[in-house]
Amino acid sequence: MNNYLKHIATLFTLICGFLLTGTSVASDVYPAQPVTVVVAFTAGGTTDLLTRMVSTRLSEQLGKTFVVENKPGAGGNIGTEFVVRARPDGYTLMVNSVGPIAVNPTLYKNLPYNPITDLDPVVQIADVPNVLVVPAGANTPNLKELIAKGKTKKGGLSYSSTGVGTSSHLSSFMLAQAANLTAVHIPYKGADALNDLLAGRIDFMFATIPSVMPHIQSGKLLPIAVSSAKRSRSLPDVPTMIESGYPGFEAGSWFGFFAPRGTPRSIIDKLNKAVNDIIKEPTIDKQMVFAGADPVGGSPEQFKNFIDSEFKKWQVVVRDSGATAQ
Amino acid sequence: MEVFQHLVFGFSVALSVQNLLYCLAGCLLGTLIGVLPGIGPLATIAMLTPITFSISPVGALIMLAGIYYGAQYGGSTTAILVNLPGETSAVVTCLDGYQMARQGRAGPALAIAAIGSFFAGTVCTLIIALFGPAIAELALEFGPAEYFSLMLMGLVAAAVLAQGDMVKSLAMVVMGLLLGTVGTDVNSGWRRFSFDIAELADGIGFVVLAVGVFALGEIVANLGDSKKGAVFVAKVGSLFPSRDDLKRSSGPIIRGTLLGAFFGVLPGTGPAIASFSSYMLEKRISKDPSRFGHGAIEGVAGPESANNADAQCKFIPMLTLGIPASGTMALMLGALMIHGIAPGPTVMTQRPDLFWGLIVSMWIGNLMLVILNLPLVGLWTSLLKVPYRMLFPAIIVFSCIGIYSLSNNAFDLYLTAFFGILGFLWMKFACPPAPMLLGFVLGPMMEENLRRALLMSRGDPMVFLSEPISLGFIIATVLIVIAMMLPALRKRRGDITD
Repeated sequence: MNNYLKHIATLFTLICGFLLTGTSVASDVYPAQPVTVVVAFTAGGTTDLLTRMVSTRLSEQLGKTFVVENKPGAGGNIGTEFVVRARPDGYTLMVNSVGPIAVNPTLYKNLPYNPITDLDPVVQIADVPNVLVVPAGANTPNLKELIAKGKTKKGGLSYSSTGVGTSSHLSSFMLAQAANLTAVHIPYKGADALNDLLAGRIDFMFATIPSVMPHIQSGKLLPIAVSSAKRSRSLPDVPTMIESGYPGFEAGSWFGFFAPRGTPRSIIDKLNKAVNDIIKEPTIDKQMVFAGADPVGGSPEQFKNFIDSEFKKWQVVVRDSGATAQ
Repeated sequence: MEVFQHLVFGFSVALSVQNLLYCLAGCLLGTLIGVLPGIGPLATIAMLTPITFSISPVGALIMLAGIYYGAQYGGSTTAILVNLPGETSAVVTCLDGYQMARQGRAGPALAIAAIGSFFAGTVCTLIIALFGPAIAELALEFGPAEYFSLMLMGLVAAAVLAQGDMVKSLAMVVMGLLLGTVGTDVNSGWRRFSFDIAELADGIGFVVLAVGVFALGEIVANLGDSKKGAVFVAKVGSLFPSRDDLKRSSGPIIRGTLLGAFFGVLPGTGPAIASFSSYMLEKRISKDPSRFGHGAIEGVAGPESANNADAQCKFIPMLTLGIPASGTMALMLGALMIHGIAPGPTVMTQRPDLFWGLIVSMWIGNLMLVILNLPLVGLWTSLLKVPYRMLFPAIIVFSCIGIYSLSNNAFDLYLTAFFGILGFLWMKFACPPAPMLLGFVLGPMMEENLRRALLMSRGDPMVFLSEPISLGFIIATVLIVIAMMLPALRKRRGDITD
């Protein structure tokens, strides 16, 4: 091993050592053993990436390992139910997103649990807005011209999504509804959608920023609006949907920590403070920009209120769209 | 020669002590996880991604790529030795590789797999260096209509996989297609054949099915046959391929490499399709197709080369277009993004160290793998001298660990056991599992692309004939059908004149 790595390793051990002594001096006993952080999606997605980013720092700060465990399946419902049924002792947590928490209760007819009442929100980590992209060769450089094309094109526009009932699908549905367009939904499994979009077989798509960032930078896809209320730090030049003439259009993804209902308040507060500190760190902040995420933070109550409003918003959209999963 | 200069530059990056170590670490780790079923490159790379934030992006990508193609090498080892496909793509290797092992020829099978993979790796490194960006555009030419027609051709060619009874083989293809429909329908979001079991919402995992049918089915069958119990002992013959083996393998290796490179450029073709295609091609053009399925070395050499070529050429759409061909690739893209590097057409000019360093490191990695694997052949084959009563519990334990790690869910284990029983029954009824697996792989992709193409054309089926590439595949499909029916027709005419 070369010197450079050796230095890093030594430094790392030293830092860990300091942090360990730091926590053992404090009277708080949590965490006394490794903590499992469940991710209800496969490794490699945005949820997984953000979770691993924050968990690595949580392990260093709180002195016990935060182990990320992927329990994917059924649109995130399998992992979510697992955490709902876990012991509320602070040693099983999860990072979850808009889908399983705010959309699936309406999308799935027979969920055996209610993610809103059966989980205690800990802290919101970040907002990850979707960006509306069009192929560069399509001659629709802004929202107005895309809509105009949609009104005249025979058979209507085609839009791709990462699956039925995802925020990618529902955002496009909201746009079609608001602009009074006929548009055909062409669902894909996850990231496969990019190929046809790049080749111009698809007219538009709402995608997570990191998944299309390389193509925006190379000029093959044009970003014409972001779905968040404020402009995204990753794409500061791209207007929001609200700026583009669609008041109230807010349809991004968000991610946050949850614990099973009944987890002691002291543990939730401790985690809340730790995560709030972590997302302010410059290195994490920089990684978040690259991941298309805008850090949020705040108290558990703020997160709870936000979730309630999100649930109500998506309930209407899901019902209008007629999307179901059963 | 500009390319030559680029490659020299690539060597200067890849040969730094640091990057060589990352490459070695990646290859070793890849081989290890390749040997274990289930634990694949996806989970491993996901776990390692946060660690790579603190090292240089070139080193990070070299290591992650090493894990990825190292796993393709490792996957074939257990497939050959104990009929346990360590990775999805190794399932084809089970067909003849395991039969070779049973005939005491595990050594030559392992060696030819390593040699074929190395050859494919070398050729693909050159292909990426010379033509990468140019052929990447081909990926964009392939839309749903093209993919559907290509897969239709594959499915029709599956008849070649038939062994013995043609009806049984076709029935197994249909069985595969049916098993492939289980899960959530992509278009409507409705669940099919999931019996309200949440774990079935995403369908049946390929590894679950393959490990159940191949590894577990084989174990049950071996245990049921008292004579077979000691099948391997004292029958480990020569470790290295004979001159005849090499001669037989050279053609399949070259054809497999080319096929694999073609499928590698297309991001919409999953794993195992390249190796299946190579296997079908070799069987089709073989002078004696009946040897296939009974330990034909061509059936190992071709698919193994195709598989490695496919894995490596998947870097072309990823690096030059920024299109990930698989979850593993998406993860590597993500790792690059965190480093602030946007893959795509600009990466070659903006970060030539990354592009050429990675390409050269892939060749060095392949060299390391072959050096690593050839001496291991002796060690692996000696494993077969372990009495079967001790070997089979070990296989089951490792299978279970691997399967559980897929999604940390015990349900997958029950499902694997279920397919183990099915696999045993199919073996007893002489129903070949290979056509079933091909149907299982192709079915869902065909359905998705068919419906997608029709959605895009607003229901006009002519889209399959009006797109030139798609039309080409349809014509080829018709020709294949005619070619397969000709011998039968000629034979019937002969019967009449007799």
